[in-house]
Amino acid sequence: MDAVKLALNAFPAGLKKDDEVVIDMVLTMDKKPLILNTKAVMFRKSETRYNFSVVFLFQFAPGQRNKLVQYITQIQMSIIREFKGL
Amino acid sequence: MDNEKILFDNGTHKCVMFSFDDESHEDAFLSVNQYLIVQNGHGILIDPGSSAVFDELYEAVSRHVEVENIKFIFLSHQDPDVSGAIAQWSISTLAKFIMSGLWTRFMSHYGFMSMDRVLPLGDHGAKLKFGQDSLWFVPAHFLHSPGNFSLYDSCSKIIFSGDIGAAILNTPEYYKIVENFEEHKKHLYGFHKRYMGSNKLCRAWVGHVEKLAVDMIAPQHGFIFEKEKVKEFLAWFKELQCGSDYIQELY
Ligand SMILES: [Fe+2]
Ligand SMILES: [Fe+2]
Repeated sequence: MDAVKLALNAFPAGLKKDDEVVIDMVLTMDKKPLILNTKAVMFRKSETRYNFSVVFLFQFAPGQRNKLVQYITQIQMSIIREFKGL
Repeated sequence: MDNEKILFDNGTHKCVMFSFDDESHEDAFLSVNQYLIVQNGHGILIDPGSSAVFDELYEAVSRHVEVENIKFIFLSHQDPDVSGAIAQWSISTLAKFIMSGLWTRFMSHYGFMSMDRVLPLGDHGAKLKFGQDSLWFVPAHFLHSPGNFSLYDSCSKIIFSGDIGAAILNTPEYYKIVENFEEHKKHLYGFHKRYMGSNKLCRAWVGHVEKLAVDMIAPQHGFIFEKEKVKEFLAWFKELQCGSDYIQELY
């Protein structure tokens, strides 16, 4: 709940550990867009032959965090329903 | 109507009543109450209800306690208006689930997958101590569910009675409280006559409850009973003919 890992095809020039960025997430919940944004800091970068993955750490405001929990709950419930045929 | 009401608060111990309903079925008039106890920053959620009210209740609960600090979720029995969102609560919290051992195996039908987080109650119930006080899971079997418990909180002196004390009536504008028991009886009778097991069972439950210091009965549907109304309700319930007492009407 306090981090996100992004896969990037190209790595932004100059971005390094502990740099501050703003993360915008646009998700869909109840057929409506759920937009969350927060300041974050770069934590770790790893690289494969084809792309980069970068982990950013952040702390959501309580209201945003609740929305993200509800979003994850809905996604997990739909996976459970599909898996169990409910 | 306000969706929440503080029933008790002494600074370290708080009991909150929520009233969230599945609005698509509002005309059915069986309004639903959910409850939260917060003890020193730790929460116990009581009968959180169906998935239709999950989002609203989650928001409301998180205004009173850090959701990570919800330690227990108590389910008085297996019905969907009580346990229907057990899977959602298991995903969104770290809580353990307390319910009759009769129902654990059925919870997977609600999508629940975390059986290791269930604390199943035996028929005689259990006590959970906190400081000088305790929570007592009081047997209430066949009232109406065959594996059913009420929850007595010795600090607030509230008994959370599940479907016992449920009333079918319109939701008032303010606090859901019984003003006049004689008047309220007619909203209790039909529900209790058909849903409750028998007078023998009513008496057994009242026998337990009369030994406790109870200031308030907080049912899962309908209105709160306070002070004198507690005694009036217990006296009424003790004499109630219901369920198998009317076997000739049922078979
Ligand atoms: Fe029920
Ligand atoms: Fe109920």
